[in-house]
Amino acid sequence: MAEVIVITSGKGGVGKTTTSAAIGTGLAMRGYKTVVIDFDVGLRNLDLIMGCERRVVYDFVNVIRNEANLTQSLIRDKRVDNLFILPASQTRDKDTLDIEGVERVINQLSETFDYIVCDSPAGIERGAFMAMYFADQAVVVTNPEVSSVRDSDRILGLLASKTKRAEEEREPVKEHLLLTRYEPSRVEKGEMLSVEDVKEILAIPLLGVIPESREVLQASNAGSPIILASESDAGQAYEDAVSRLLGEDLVHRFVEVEKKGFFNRFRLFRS
Amino acid sequence: MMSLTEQDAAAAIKARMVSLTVLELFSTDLEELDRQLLEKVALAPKFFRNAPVMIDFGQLDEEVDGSWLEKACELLFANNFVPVGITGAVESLEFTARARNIAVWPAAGTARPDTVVESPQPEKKEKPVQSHQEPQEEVSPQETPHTETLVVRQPVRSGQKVYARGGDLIILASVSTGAEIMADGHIHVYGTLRGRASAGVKGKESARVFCNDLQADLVSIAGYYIINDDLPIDMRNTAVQIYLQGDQLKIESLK
Repeated sequence: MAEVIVITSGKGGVGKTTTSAAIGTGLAMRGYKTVVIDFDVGLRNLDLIMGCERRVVYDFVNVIRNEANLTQSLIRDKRVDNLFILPASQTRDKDTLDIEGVERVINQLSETFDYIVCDSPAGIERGAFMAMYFADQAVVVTNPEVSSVRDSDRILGLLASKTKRAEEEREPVKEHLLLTRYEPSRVEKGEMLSVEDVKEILAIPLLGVIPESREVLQASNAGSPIILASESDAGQAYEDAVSRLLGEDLVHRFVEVEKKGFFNRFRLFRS
Repeated sequence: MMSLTEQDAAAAIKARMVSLTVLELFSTDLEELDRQLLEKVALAPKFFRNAPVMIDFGQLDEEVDGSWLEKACELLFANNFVPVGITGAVESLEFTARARNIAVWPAAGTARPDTVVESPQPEKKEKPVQSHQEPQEEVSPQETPHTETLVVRQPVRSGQKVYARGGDLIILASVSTGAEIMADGHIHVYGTLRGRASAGVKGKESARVFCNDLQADLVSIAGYYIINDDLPIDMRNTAVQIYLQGDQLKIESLK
């Protein structure tokens, strides 16, 4: 049985797809057979971020409608073994997703995969609902900013009531907070919510803090998941997050302002 | 000091405002009354079933006697009303009413309203109104408040709504901004209250809101409310209780 992880946020543009690509890739690098499904039907992006947009022949909607089978639609990643992508359709809309179809695909994938990562679209409509419905775990991607925090709060409410686990009154979906685009220096100036602020409001365990990084944009444009850039802060932060997802207990990095150089410190002492 | 009286006493006499259906009479024609009552009941059978009714003779010009009142009461019973009292009637009728064990209310206004304020429309035979008489406690069959307390352990998230009907609400976690919690009785929040909290939503003015950390968007008690902007600075982010005093919400520290 595969573990189904939904990457969700409510708000758009906070880094769901970047996170889906990074976490999916990270899990595969640790040897788990992983598939990342793009639920953003009509606005597909995952294939771009993962650099396989030219290899899409059949998509998720084709499989749901029995127009293609899974082996035809799954795209094998060229860089990482055990990693597969099920792309969204760009020409349909989210109403083409139906719950029975999604369930059938997830059950089928469940037979051969260890992890199914569902990249949710923004919003709280049909697409987002489909992406979260079968989840065992949820990674709630949040920016340190009030509107993003509120939308994440809303999503957490839905995870507690609108998922299959909630409806069947099983153990609730395991929730993780992933804080992205974090800038400790701006937090210090009071321009940005701190990790503690966000944790206090959302009251769920922290999976990781991804620092704001120019390399994320570069990686996206190059179609290479940021976790593969192992020398970058953001890549390392995602690696830590994957470790924590697998149960390791690591100290959170990238939450403090970097130590100043020797001369800066010296000057600080004198003042 | 706890008051012992409430625990020791077998009963407590309290004044309460209840809503009562008033039947204003404009004619003594019982057949016509029966026909029009049937029509009314047909409109909302559930609403009127076993509704307590006060008969108001204040608008009636004709004289009626005790036997007429007896018949009128039978007619109301037959239509599933429960006649509980009369008002604005002549003294002889009050005697009949007492004999039938139904209450006699003093007439609305200062004296017997022979002076008709507005010409009434005869087809408007009855309307449910708030009884503004002295708050005499009346046994109303549909008002049996059950006090079930609702306990919520999970955080109440933005967009969620929790309503404790007929009782108190206890939240053991935080209430997010954009969430709404309501109770007919008191509300206790043992986490941070950031959303909206409405206690005594059915008008219970003695209802209170207690919270461990006040950051609410809005707090209301029996319809009186205070918004976040108006929360006093020294009460924010502290444990408080909020209650109604007159028509003012009072916020008091629990420290």
